[in-house]
Amino acid sequence: MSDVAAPAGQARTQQIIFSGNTPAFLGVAIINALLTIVTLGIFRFWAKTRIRRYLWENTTFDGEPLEYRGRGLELFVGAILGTLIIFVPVFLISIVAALVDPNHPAGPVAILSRLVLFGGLYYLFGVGYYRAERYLISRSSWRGIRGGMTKGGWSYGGWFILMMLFQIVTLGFGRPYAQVRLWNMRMNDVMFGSVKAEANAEWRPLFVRYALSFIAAIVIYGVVIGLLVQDFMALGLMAQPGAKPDPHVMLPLLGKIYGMIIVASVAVGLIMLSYHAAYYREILGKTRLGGLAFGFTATTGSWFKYYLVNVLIVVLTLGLGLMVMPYRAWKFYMTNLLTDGALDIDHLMQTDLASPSQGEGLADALGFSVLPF
Amino acid sequence: MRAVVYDGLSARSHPATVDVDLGGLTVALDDGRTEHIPFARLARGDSRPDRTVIVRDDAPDWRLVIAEPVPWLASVRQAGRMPQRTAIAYGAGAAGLVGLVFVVWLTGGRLLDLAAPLIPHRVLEPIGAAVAKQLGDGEVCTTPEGQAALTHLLARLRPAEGFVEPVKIDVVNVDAVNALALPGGHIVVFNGLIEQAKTSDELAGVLAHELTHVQLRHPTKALIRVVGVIGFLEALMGSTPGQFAGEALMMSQSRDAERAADTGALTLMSQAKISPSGMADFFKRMMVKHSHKAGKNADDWIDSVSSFLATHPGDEERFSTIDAAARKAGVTEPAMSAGDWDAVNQMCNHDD
Repeated sequence: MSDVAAPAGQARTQQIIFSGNTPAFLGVAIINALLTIVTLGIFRFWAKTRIRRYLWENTTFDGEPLEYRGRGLELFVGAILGTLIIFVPVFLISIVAALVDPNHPAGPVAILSRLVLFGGLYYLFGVGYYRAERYLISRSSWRGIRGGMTKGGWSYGGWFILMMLFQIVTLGFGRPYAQVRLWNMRMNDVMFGSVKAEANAEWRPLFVRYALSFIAAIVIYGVVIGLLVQDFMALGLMAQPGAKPDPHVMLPLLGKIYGMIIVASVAVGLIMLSYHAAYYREILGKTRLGGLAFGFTATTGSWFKYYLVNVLIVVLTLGLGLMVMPYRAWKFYMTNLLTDGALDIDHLMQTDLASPSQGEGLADALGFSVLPF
Repeated sequence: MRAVVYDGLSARSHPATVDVDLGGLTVALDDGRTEHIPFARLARGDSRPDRTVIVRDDAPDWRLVIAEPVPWLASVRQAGRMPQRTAIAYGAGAAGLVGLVFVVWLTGGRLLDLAAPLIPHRVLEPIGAAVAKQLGDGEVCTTPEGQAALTHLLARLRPAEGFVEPVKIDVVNVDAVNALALPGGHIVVFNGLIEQAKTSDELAGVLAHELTHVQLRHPTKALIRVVGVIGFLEALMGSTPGQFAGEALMMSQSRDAERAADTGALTLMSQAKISPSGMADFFKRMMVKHSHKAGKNADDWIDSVSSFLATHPGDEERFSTIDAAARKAGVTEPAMSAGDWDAVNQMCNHDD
């Protein structure tokens, strides 16, 4: 018996291997870019689909390629629905608020309607994230088996708001708990075929690293703001009423302000990177699918190198390099994603979860994406 | 030809032998099951040079994987067509959407009539102000005397039933010969128009026309149309929400709206005992001037509002209506006193 898809050697651990190459990917990306421009952006749904299909079909798990089954039309229909779901209530609430209490633009009705709007949008953000992930998983298949998620994301949206409130109450220190909890919640709803995913990532191992980074970030921003305030005070003392600002003073000062903000942002980004790396190692390291355990190898250094090269590519190509970002992201994730153990192929049956007929509409309308493509 | 079948029920691979005939494929699994699948059911899935995937539409999860070149592949269509049920659902959705658009198209005027009065002045006012600011490049001409003269004229033109919203007139320092009614009862008169007008009656005609646009809530309706249609499209296309108000302005009014504004203007002027002859004269001069202009597909949107007739599509019929009214007019008084008219002319004094 010959199984064409079987790997040459006998491996106890089923491995994920990405074997795409940049020129082939660029072929897809350049056509996408041209068609997206020509169609005034409408093609982007099909463009996304083409990119995913390329990435999936060039990724093998245990020697057999993944298959992306999504269609551009599904994303297009999703976008129309998502736009309606957001656009119509926003429009109606604004009009109702303006009609009910037209004389008090800052009155209780206006404030309440704004709260409802922001709360509602934040809720839809959570729902949209869940549903976008669900769509992606439901469109991913391997050996003819599909994935899925067990819920519709509507209760997840509530948890999403709750976790945001928790972070506010804890002055930002609750972030690891919130992030990990939401990840577990989503992953425990994931199924691949008949196998249920399990995630029990913990926030405690991340907390010290996060707290230290967070405090360092606050200190850095505090110092920068302090220095800037000093500069502004000095400027305020020099300025004469009615005098035109002196370019010899203003230009270096502006340079200094922007310079300090950029340096501070980069420094904070670098400091938070260590938490970022630890977070990915934690969540994937504590997630499994049946007999298959996952892991993530990227260290702070690998993330740094990844982002640095991204920036360099984009800057040196004057932005054209943005096209290869999906490829780089997928390659980074796939090469760092470890597997241990194996899925029991003989007992992996098809999922009985219904797959959504359209997808990612809320995410699209709210302007975010679960994956960078 | 050797192949592997994934039946879509489990992840297990089923080695098989595939034979091709004119009608389709015969797939014989090594465990003995054999099936003939017509080409009509089959489509090509993800394919690489070393690996061909065949899918079938009656079993969406079924996959046939062949790891060698497949000469008959050309006769199999590419996957990507929707299953029939999905196609019907999308077709019905699209038809419904088209129907909805059609209904809105047909009843749009009625809907706008209902919707426009619902939008309060305090929502519209800042929009009109923003466009006015953009138009005048921030250069609004104002003198106490000139403003008083305009306010006085406005009071004379006041409709019997009162203004539907507070009216504000701004003169902006732009040489174009035009005047516009913006959302929020904001009427903008370009200085070019004041210079071009020979008498205060001519200005009064234009003001009465714009005032009627305000009374009929034409600017508000244009705004709703643009926010509704273009706003939705822009959200869909993923671009940032644009300057709706500016675009609303670019949309020239329909001829019906212009005729209605003319009729209303004539009524207002007759109530105010102002002669429509000035309006007729001004209209005639503009028509002659405009006929010398070539295309009006200007790149810059400010160009598109640079002439009265570009935003106020005119024709002989409109002119003759005004002209007829002018001939029938009874006893009239000048729209402004000589002093007031002078003050309005001095509002944008080009001293600098």
